[in-house]
Parts: sequence; C-alpha cells; structure tokens
Amino acid sequence: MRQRSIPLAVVSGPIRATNGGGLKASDSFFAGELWGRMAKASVDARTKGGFSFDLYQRNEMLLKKGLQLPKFRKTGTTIVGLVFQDGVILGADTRATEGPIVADKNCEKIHYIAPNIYCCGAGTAADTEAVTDMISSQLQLHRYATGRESRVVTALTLLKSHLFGYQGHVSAALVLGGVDVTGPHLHTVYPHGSADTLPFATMGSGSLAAMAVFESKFREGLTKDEGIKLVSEAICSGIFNDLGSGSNVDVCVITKGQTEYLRNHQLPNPRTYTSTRGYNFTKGHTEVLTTKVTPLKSKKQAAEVDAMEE
Amino acid sequence: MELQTLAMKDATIVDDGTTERTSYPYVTGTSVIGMKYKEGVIMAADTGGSYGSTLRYKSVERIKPIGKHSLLGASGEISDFQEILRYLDELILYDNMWDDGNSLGPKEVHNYLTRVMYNRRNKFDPLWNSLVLGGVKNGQKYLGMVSMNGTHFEDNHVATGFGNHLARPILRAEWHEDLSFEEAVKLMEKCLLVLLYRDRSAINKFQVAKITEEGVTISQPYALKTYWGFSAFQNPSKGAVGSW
Repeated sequence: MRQRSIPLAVVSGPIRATNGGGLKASDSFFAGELWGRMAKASVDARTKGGFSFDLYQRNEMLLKKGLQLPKFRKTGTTIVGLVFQDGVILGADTRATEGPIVADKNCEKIHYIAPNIYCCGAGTAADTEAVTDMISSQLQLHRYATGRESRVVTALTLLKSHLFGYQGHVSAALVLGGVDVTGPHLHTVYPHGSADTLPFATMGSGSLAAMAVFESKFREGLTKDEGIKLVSEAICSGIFNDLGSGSNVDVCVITKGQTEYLRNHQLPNPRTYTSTRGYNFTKGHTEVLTTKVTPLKSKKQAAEVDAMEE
Repeated sequence: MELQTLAMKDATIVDDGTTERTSYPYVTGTSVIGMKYKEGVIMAADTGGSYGSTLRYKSVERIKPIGKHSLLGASGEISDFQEILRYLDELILYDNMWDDGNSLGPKEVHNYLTRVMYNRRNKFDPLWNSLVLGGVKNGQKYLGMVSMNGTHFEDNHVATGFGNHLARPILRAEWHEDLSFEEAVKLMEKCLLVLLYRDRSAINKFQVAKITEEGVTISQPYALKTYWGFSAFQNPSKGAVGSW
C-alpha cells in the first residue's frame, strides 16, 4: 500500500490533490492507475495515497480458482453517542468477533483522538484502530502548528477525506464526539466517507437495539447522570439483544475542559461460577510420584576450522 | 372421498412442465407487533402496502379476526395473506358446520397455520408471510408467530420483520405480566414510534387491535405524534460554517 498523507497540511484526499480539475468522483476508483501515470509525469513532491489496483485482475482470477481470503476480525458492535447539556457522552460494548468466535472479550472500542475528542469504532478492528491513530497523530501535529485546541470538525474532515479516498475498502464506521471552543459536537462517519451531525447516534450490528432505546427515551438537555444511564441502557440493549455485541459497557464523558474515561463502567456479564478458593495452586497440591532429572547435553564442539582467507 | 381443501392443492403446474412458484414478494406489509396484557392480547400494525420501494397502498388492513377467539396479523406478501384468510375462512366454516358447541381456539389455528406454511415451503412454493396469531379462549391467553418457512413459537411478546430488531429490545426490557390496557397501548405506541422513525417502509397510520374473552376490537387507523425539533437537526454545520 502506498504511503499516507503528510502531516502538516490539512489533508484532503491525496487522489483529488493530484488529479487537477475535471475528474469525476466515479473516476476515483481508477484514479490509482491514472494517478500513477500522472505522478510519474509530474514533478509532484506530494506523497501518494489510495489503493493501487494493479493486481485487481490477478486477484479476481485467483478468487475464481477458489482462493480463500483470510477472515477479518470485526468488532460486531454496539457503539453509541449522545449530546447532553454540558457535552457529549460516548458508549461502547467490549466484544470483538472473528466470525462466530469471540476473539477478545474485553477490547477497547473508544479511541483517543485528542484530549477533548474521542471516537468509537465499529467494523474491521484493524481499520478503526489504524484510522483513529492516524488522525490522532495528524491532529497533534496540527495542534503544535496552530497552538490551539483541536476542533471536532477537523477530525471529522480528516476522517471523511481519508475514508472516501479508500472508497469504502477501509471498513470503519465511527461515532465521533467531542467538545471544543464552538461547543459539543457528535458525528457519525460511514466507511464510504459520508458523515452526519446528530443529537444521538448508534452504529454497529447492535445499532438497531440501541437506537430503539434512544428513540424512545432521548430528550435534549439531559444531565450527566441521566446521560450516562441512558447510554448504558442503550449499550446493554445491544449487548443482550445482538449476538455480535457483548461483555461490558465502556463510557466516555467529554465536557468543556474535562474528559472522564469510564472503562468497564458496567459489567453485566460476570462469570456465573467461580471457585471461592481461588485459582492459585501452591506447591504441594499435586502429589509427586517419581522424579527423573536429565542433564541437558553440552553443545558439541565446533569442528576445527582454518582462519578465513583475507 | 376426502374433501380436498383449498390448502391441499398442488403448486400450479403449467402444461409445458414448468412450475409457477413464489420466488419474491411484490406488495408487502411491514412489521406487526403483538403482546399479551392483563385481559388478553393486543396487536398493532401500520396500514401500508409497499410495491418495492413505492408506497402503493395506504389503507391495507393487516390484522383480521379469525373465528370467535383469534386475531391474525401478517407482514410480507399481501396477496398471500389474503389467500391465508381464504383458507382460514374455509377452516372456520367447516368447524361451524359440525355445530357441536366447540370452536377452534388460537392454539388450534396457530397449529393449522404452521402446517400450511411448512408444507408450502417443502414444495418450494412458500406463502411469503410472517404471521402473528393471538387470542383468548376459556381465560387462556395465547400469542404465537409463524414464519414463511414454518418456524413457529409462542411467547409473551412477538414482532415480525423490522420489529424484531427495533421493537423486541424495548419489549424485552419493559414488558411485564398483567399490563393494563392503557399501559399496553402506551408500550405498543412506543415501539410503533421507533419503527416509524427507523423503518423506511413504515407509514404514520396504525391500527391497534385487541382481543379478550368478550371479543375483538380493531381500532380505526390513527397517527402518532413525531418530534423533529432537535437543535442538531436545525443547523448541522453550526460548528463550522461552510463545511459539509
């Protein structure tokens, strides 16, 4: 995969940057090829981006021959966000699935973007991690360059441009929330690069169950405790009604000047049976029947060799 | 000779050896929600019939009384629902002709529907519906569901289609034994409102039906109040004027 965008500029799709005028959005699928030729021709110092589709034909041929692509680890998920009177509250479950198996029982789906901006991620776990980490670094450099607190719309624009450039192949569905000088903001970003601004949002496989809770109980101007309670209820609805979501509830409360990251705020799925005696077995629990000690053989002597020829 | 009922006829076989069978639905109804309450069973559905992505019919009654003791609600292909009503008409008629003082209850109708749906699916010619069957007989409340492949079960609250994803979570959290009629309607309207917001084939014209030991009441169609006044909806790009 080609290199990513350079940090200092506020990046819009690198594909668009090098295309000049006239190319339609539908052309960006082939822009990789076209762009490749143009970049060689021009003396453009800007770094490359987007997928290279050179191997597309070969991949199609392999698939026809029966090649099995490796499975993605997805975060079949419930992620939510809502705006309350002082800011934004984000919530997420903690189950990461690999097909029908739970790969991680307690993963972190609320990612750090800036001290005042956090982002929940649903979809392919690697994609959400990479994309949020990348935008987080870009924002930090931007903060150094401008000397100001980051704004949510900046993170939003960076995410949108990046995801659009990859034409939906970066499977990251995000709930982005934060509080900046202009106030509290909550956005959803879809894998193809579109975004919405909403008072409350849910994404992931459990989004319908969580949205049912929000649509029936949300109102504007909730207090912090009411907001946390509603978010937890929505995530629990996803955890118990959706098979792709489960385990615990993570909550993140962002207000002006302060962020509270409540990791495992609720643990509604405890182990049913635990041994009261604990699971540490001290020496002496197992009866020793026989003992046999075999010394490790010493290494063979290296054969005599002549000194290397100069 | 055995009386051959309508339901036992084969899938239409045309002379050239091809068979006509249902492969996809045309005019469809969206979710139906049902739940038990103190005196009986309450069921609700909107009155829309969509033709693909067009809202073709806006006054389709998707909940009908069956005999003395049952209510049937259906989502999916409307013509198949009408066919099922014909089968049930015949069933109830033959039952009445026995004139023995007994009448088919909801459990029996549910079982009959299950057999019809399952046998049709085995002939690769399904009736493209998800049916909700509710009723009260001799004080016993009954609420069950049959899907187009014959899967059937009984529960305190059921929903078809989108209702499974949007209404069932609410019902699982908030339904409890012995709801009063007003509470049940309130809970039902909560679910219907979420469906109205989030199901693209739902329309704002609902019928709520209830069945008790006394009989069936199907309400006139009415609309729910929706709220669109969130400040984020008024000005989405407030934070950065000129952004998209």
